[in-house]
Amino acid sequence: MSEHVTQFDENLIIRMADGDGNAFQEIYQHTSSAVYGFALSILKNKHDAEDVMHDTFLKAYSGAITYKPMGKPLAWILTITRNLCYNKIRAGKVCEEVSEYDSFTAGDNSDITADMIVLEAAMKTLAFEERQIVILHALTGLKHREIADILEVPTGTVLSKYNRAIKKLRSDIEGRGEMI
Amino acid sequence: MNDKSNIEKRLASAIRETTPDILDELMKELDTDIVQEPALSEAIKREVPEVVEMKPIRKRSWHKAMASCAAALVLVIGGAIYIGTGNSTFAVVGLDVNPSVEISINKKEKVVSVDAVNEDGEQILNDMDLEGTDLDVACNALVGAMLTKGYLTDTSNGLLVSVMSDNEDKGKEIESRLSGNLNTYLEDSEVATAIIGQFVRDDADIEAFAHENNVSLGKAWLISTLVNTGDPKMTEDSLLKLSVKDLILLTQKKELSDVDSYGEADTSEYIGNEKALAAALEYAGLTESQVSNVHVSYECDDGAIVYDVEFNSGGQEYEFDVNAITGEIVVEEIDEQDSYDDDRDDDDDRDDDNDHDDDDDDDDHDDDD
Repeated sequence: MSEHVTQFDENLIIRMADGDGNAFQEIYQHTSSAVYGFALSILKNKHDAEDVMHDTFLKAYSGAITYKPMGKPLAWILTITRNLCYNKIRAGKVCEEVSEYDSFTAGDNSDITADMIVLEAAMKTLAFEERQIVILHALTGLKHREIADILEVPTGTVLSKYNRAIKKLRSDIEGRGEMI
Repeated sequence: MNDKSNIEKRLASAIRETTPDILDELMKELDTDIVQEPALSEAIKREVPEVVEMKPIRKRSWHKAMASCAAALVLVIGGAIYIGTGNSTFAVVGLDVNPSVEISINKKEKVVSVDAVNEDGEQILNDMDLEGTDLDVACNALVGAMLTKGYLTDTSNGLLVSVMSDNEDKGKEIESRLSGNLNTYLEDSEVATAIIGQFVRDDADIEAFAHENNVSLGKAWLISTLVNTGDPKMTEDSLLKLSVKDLILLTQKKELSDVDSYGEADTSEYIGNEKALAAALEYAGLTESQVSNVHVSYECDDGAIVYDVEFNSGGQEYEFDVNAITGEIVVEEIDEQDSYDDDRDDDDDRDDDNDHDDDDDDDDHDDDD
């Protein structure tokens, strides 16, 4: 299996616009983790991220008829996710940050996987945009330029923040005595 | 493998592991759309295609439109699966930018037919088959087309959403929800759109007005609402010449209560309050320090947006209308300042202003009625 399974054929969106339920399912399977992870990176809260994930797919379904084929189906969906996150933040509907990621390694949680430690580090140590950039890069395989388009920031910003974020993560994980 | 890609790999794996599975939930919510709708619209097309083809609605009253749509559908699908649950036209939803379209929906808020009210509306409907879709989906598609075809732009950013139904409670509910949804939908677009949502009651006069002037019922209703604010400059003839965006601008500035309002109508083509005031001051030969009680607002004069600029100076009340695009002074009035500060509720019958002009015909007669 390819490491980056999130890119998909934009014809699926066109089929979805015709009410094709199978196309909808395929799109969901390709993109659900990217959508959820991206929402999580902005909202830092599992519950809100799930809400946005839910609304993103409903909105993608209802808006599919307006999709203009430009070879960027994933960017289209992630832009919906981003806008919904910002709507939620603007509307003040984001839950208080509950520091849920603090609890992963606190105490004797023995079922915490090594992978979760990296996620926790990303949530705790990275700045707002750094977190979005690293998570999008990790989950989607989008190029820095494409990530820059989605986040509406210059490509140079994405590159430098990405490098800084990886350094921060490495030092945080090593600081816990974890192997990378 | 280097540590960078290893970090990313572990991060991706952690997120994939914790991504909630909501596919079933989503499929349930979309169930009818996915499975049943295409079947319905296919059935309509196959059996009697001419029944659902586009027809201009404005030659009929919307009541008649409702009745005939209902009859047509019974003919088409009488006895078919979907219909027992109420398939007559329950409400008509109007979308006005400049293209005007009207969407007839049944009680389940599925589209029964879509009609163009003007030529631009026909451009929007071109090749679009929305019969049987959800109202929200159809509206998103139509508004999406208005965006992509360049009708809804930064400077022409007004969308009027009108809902007409015999069931006022439900009609208002649909209007309010739809306006909110369209606002959310448009927030994702590049055009910051101003939306006014209104419920439109059955009114023969307004219907006749819409018909005579070849405008949608929604636009006619909004014009009548503005006329009813009692502002003497808001006349039907003048307002008819305005774009939907400018009608929305006036509606928003008047803060009408009976509508849902989102965003702000664009004013970037207009000179702005400060320049309008400066133009009026220059015309009057005064400086800002010489005037008091300055008030600037948007108005309509003879089919154009103007700034209504008012101020007092040297015992005189000045009022100017300044063309909002050119800055030209189009109307000026200078009156003696009323020493009673416009206390119109005094209980004698005498005309207590000492106007030198001929304004006596605008007495208020509504005091005791």
